Amino acid sequence: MKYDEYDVVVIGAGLSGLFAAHACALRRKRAVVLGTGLGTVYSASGIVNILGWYPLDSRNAVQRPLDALESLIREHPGHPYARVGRGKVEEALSLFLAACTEMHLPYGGSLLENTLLPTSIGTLSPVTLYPATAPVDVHGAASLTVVGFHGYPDFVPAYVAGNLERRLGRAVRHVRIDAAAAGKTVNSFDLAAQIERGALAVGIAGQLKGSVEAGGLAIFPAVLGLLRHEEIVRALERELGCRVLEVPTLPPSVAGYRLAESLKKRLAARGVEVITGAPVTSVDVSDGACRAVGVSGASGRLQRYAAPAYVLATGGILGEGLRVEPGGIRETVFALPVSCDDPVCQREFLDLKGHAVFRAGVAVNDRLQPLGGDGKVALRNVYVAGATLAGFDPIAERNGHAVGIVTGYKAGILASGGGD
Amino acid sequence: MNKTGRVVVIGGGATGTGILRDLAMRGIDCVLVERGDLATGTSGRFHGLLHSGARYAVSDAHSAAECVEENAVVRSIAPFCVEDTGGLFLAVKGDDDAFVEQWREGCRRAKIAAEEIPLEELRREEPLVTREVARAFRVPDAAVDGFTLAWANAASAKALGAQVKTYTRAVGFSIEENVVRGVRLQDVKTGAEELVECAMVINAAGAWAKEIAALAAQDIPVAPDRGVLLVFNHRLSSRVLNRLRPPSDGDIFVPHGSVTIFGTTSRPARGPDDDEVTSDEVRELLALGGALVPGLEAMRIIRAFAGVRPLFLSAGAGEGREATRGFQVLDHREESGIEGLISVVGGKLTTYRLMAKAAVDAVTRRWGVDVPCTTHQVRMERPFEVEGTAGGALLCECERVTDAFLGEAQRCWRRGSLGDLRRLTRLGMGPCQGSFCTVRAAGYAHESLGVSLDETNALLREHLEERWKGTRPVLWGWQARQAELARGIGLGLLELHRMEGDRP
Repeated sequence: MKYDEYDVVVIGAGLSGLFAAHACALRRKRAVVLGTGLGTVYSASGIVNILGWYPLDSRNAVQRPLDALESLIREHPGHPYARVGRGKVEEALSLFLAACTEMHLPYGGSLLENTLLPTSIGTLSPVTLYPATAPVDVHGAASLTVVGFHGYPDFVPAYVAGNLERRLGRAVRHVRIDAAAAGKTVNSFDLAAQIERGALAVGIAGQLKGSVEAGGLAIFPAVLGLLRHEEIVRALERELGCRVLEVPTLPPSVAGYRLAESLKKRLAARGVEVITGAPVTSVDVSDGACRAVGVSGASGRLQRYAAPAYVLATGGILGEGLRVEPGGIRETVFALPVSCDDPVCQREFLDLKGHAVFRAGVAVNDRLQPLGGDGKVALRNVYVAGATLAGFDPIAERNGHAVGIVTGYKAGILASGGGD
Repeated sequence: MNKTGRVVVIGGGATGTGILRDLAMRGIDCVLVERGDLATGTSGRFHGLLHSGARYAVSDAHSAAECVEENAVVRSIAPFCVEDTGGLFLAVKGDDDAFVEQWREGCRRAKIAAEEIPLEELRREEPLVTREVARAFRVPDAAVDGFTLAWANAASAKALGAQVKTYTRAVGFSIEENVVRGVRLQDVKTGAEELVECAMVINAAGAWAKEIAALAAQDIPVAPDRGVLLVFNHRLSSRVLNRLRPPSDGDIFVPHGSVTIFGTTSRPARGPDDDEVTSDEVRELLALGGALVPGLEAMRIIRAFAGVRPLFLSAGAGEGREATRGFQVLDHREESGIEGLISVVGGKLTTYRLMAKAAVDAVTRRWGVDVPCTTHQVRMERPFEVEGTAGGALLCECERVTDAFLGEAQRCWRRGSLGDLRRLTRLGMGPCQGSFCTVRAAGYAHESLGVSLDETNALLREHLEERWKGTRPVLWGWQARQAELARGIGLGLLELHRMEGDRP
């Protein structure tokens, strides 16, 4: 058994856990992040939405996300945004943008107004903040060209262009260019690695001459390099004389990889250890507080981590912070109570009202402390962040990243001994 | 009197396509109509068991004997549809010993090779099976692919000049002086109606046979009976596992490639389209199956589904599991004086060819034509060739479907919708349930196979709803995580729930 002295132990290495650790580091607290795996952020889009549609079953896209946020906080006091409050939401997201700029992950978009961006099948989606060298205006571009790669079946330019044309009411060109190895199927990661290595026989700009106009917009899948992608995109924009927009793809998500890797590097530079392959398998709880957590190492030895405060950011159903069982839903680290409004799901998968089971989670107070079945604080030194929280559906609301960042931020501050 | 004419076959399952092939091979002009895609009725919603007959050795000796013969025939005419898994009958400690002896005697009489094996051998070969087995017997059960079997029969018939009209519903008959002269058909997609003249109609609509017969004001005693089945994500056993006791719920596991189909139950269905599955039924089934495979409840389930058996209520026979699993050919001229209509009811997939033969024999007898059945003598071809398609871009990693393969499937089955092509190539039917590959296939279909934007978009949404139907009753454990991944891609990444009439 090994005792380690930390100020904060963060359980979960997803975006909410990493951002909680970031908040701790900013306050000069010693934090360690324990992750079972790499984290679901590696599969996610990198797009940060406050709110795209409000109410959730509305057919009208949100144009001013902070206004919609105000309405939501008023009407849904149990929603994680309501627990954090508008002020902290803005603070957290501004900090996120600043960090991304420093990490060479530029973001476009604004908290004041959503932008309609294409998806990888050409539907349009309202988003708040998106990876881009500068804000993108799809409607205002002189011309639009969708670019795909031979041997990369995840992004089909003709299909994307077809749907986009219908929604924008204007012509959209489409073209496929060659990747490095002819006749082989590649995934987003392979392609991004080839492009970063400069392995394409004829460069992208070279292949696109004539297909893309100056002043236009070239729409690519998010495969333009791995960690050097800012450099690659800026060079491409210069050579082509047009803007470049990357669209998130099916997993593996290179945009997610860039975000996760960059955040981890940054944390390492500030002395925060992120330990992967460290599932928390036991907890030491007494007197309404967590004393330590235990991680089963590969050797079978139990490694103990102790701190005055903990952040629980283990994710939802996908991240396995919550496990659905035939009899109910279990929170997998502390066995905190999880309630679900309605065990029966809607008949239609695509029902805009969503399904209650995916909104289930751990109930918390305004200090993000988890509540027991009696409504009282169950563990006073544990702060819950991200998809583990009750009262929201990160996928249907498309705000998993945003909620993760803002609740992770607040949880990190509180765990560091900060006030509200 | 020597007379032949056109025959319309209603129903595109194993029976209907089997009948079409038999008619075509006997040189009879024929056309098949099916309201959906082929094998989307009971033939696509069953265990996938090619019975050795042992299951009926005690309860239904006649069915058992039919299964023995036809099991061998199907293996010889459609070997590419059959996985020769072999089967086991297992009596668990506490099961009735006397029944075991009755069963052995029944197998002997029906000439089913049932060989007892030592328990150590069982344990070695089937590590997941309970240690509480008292006695174990090997039988020649096998796994059969109902979809491919129906497609192969249809393709074989088409090559001989038969017509196959899917997405075509029979909506009425043209009857003059008690003689059926034609069938009124409706194109399900366009709504267009047409009248097809014919000399004979064969009602092979399975669980819907009663509804079809009613169009001619005929009543046939078919009781739809619903059974729930679960598809597990891996191969739980090498062989088919059967519980050695009177046929009951949750007593069969059938391995198919890398999955296992387990079931089933037997409850009166509310109608032939009753394919609802509830979580409660699933939990009951899992508890029953746990007796043969301990720990079943924690294993990964891909989906749950229900199939409706067309049980034939012959006079005096019982209902549910007591009803005969045999089949009957009803010539309505004898039943109620209406000519030109034959219904074939009851049965099971294993004996489809025999049912088809009996139906076509009834037609040729009626016409006084002496052309024998030869469907058991001629091997069928695969519905389409897969050679040379391995080099394309890989769309479905679970089932190894390339874009070239999908393209070849469409070339051979031109009227097929994208959904049909998916069923034919198995794209999206593996463990990921199409979360990734359906998106790739949709894009490819629009770009290279001439599928319209609307149909492509509709396919993506339809696919998600279809998968949800199977996941919803088993939404826990790994299945819940898979559903979240499907939501992450379908809703989170692609906003498919906002596609219809969206005006952002």
